[in-house]
Amino acid sequence: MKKDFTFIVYAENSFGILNRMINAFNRRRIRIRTLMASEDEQNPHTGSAGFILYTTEDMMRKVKPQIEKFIEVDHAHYEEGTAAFYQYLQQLSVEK
Amino acid sequence: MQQKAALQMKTDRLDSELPITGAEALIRSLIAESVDTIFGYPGGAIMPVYDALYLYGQRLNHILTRHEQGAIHAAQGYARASGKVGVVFVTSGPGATNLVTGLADAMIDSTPVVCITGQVASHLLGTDAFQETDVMNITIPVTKWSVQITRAEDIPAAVAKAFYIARTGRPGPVLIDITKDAQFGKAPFHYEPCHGLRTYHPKPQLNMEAVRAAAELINQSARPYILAGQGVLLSGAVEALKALAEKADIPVANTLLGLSSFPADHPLYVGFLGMHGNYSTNRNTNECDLLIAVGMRFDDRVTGDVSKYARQAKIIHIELDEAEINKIIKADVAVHADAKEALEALLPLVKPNRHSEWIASFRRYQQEEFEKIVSKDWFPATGLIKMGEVVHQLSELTQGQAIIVTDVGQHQMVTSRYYAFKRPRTHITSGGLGTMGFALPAAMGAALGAPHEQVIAIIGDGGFQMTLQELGTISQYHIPVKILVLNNSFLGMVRQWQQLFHESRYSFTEMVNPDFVKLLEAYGIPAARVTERDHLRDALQEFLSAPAPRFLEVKVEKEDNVFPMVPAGAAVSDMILEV
Repeated sequence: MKKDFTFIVYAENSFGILNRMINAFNRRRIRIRTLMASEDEQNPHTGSAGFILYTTEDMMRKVKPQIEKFIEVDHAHYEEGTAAFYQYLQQLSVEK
Repeated sequence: MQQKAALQMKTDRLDSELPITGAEALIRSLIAESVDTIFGYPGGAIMPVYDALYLYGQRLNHILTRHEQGAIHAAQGYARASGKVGVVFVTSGPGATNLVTGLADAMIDSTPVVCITGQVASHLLGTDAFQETDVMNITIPVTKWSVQITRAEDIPAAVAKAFYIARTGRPGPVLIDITKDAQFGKAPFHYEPCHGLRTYHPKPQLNMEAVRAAAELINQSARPYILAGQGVLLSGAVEALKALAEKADIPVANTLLGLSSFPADHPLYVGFLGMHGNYSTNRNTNECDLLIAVGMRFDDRVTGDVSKYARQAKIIHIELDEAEINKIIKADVAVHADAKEALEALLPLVKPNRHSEWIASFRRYQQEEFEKIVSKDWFPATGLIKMGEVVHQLSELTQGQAIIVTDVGQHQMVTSRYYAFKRPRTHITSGGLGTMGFALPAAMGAALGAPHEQVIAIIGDGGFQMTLQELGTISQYHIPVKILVLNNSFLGMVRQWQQLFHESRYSFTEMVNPDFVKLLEAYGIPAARVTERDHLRDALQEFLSAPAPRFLEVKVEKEDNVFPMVPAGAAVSDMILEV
């Protein structure tokens, strides 16, 4: 059953990495409902992206390692619902 | 000449405090990576690199292909035959976009290539300048990594990173796009090879708990079955696989890209998997009680209907790429590891065993397949020559020792079924992408990557005409490739499907071909044609013993079908031997 998931990715802030992530979701026909990407205030060479995705748990389980295998990606995690996404936004605004 | 000799001496010490151009830094970086061969095609945006290359001609062998697609397929063939990284130079715009098919092919088949594309000057990026295209975004989905360089001083580090990424972990294609101002710009040169990246971990830590769980399943199994993929070849696990199979007496089948990872004349070798694979290998997938998948990704051509795939069996999946684990088939025990490391760790934990009755079940299916299909393919009494007998005789005459490069289609499946590969890395094909036109340029690359081997390209008449301009490259550089075209004047596999599943409506699959022998003669490549069975063996013998390059066209049965087959969407156990 499809539902909302929060998916957060931490990565090197390099050209094209956001495109790679979005491509991975598009290729799997995963709907991106919300997206926020930001470079790290302390270290602009790194950054993070948060997504609200509308898909199945099985698809999340499969797409996570596909995203994590991108060279610049440090790690990713996901959880059901949107609460974690808004916590992530809050954290970004505190850091800024 | 003096200038070349001076530079030769200079490059013996590659580092330079004096600023050198970005173009020269690129060339020196490639030399530092022990590159010996480059496949490429010059153009406006990469001219500084070619100018620098001109002066390093004694250190780097550049092969001017006739199309950029030819260059990247040649680099793939070179990489697959040699185990090294293939290197490609092309210009911006159409030069870069012509790489896309090869990049996608290399990505899905895990082939290490580094492609250098020239780019317009950085101030022209995004302006629709002449031959400007957004190659970075075009190629993101089909590259393992890509980077655009706009400053000369960034070139050495980018090259070092590119080679490290291309060849480590699950190998793949990497693209470096270098703007023209970065090629002209100057900086001191220092080369530092890349040995690691913060966010990239190509070799996972072996989980011994998973290895022990796998060993336990193997020791308990009455009907174990190993499916060996290309990961066995890439990790150099051929001997470890053989040792494990022999110790526990486990039959071994190969995926398409795994062919040559287990010797075809070994008593435990049971054949080729998949849609047009062997009857026993597919049927027994749904009879085994333990499937041990090593370095393979459960491609849909291997699994057929996933919901009916090996449901009765426990699954051990040994795989380097974590994203492949549980992607298609859920593993009971997942060993996320390099295949060689995992197999070597498994070996002492696995008990010696015998599975004679289980192995005999493969032989019974093989006998049935031989009587109904193989014997008719190998020894037909009437009609035109069949692809099967050509490949079977070629296999006998070469004793399974040649490097075979196939294109895509019926001839590819027939070769996979009937050529008895005896040594690792002797089978090169376009597996995942299924790129027609792959074989001729890939065979050129293989011949240069493995110069002491006999390299034979087996191609259909359709695929041959997709990249036959590379005959010019073969002719110019006298690349020792044997080219065997199996000509049925059809796009054979599509025609077969039209016959079987579209009520014989042959919609645009028949081909009116040129006189290939005359065409080859125009390129200065000795060529012959055989149309009759009685002359086939002699023609093949002459073809093999003559100096390369050499071309042989075999006119084969027009409407021959490749059987057995798993119909699209059917279970592997529903494989059909005939219709």
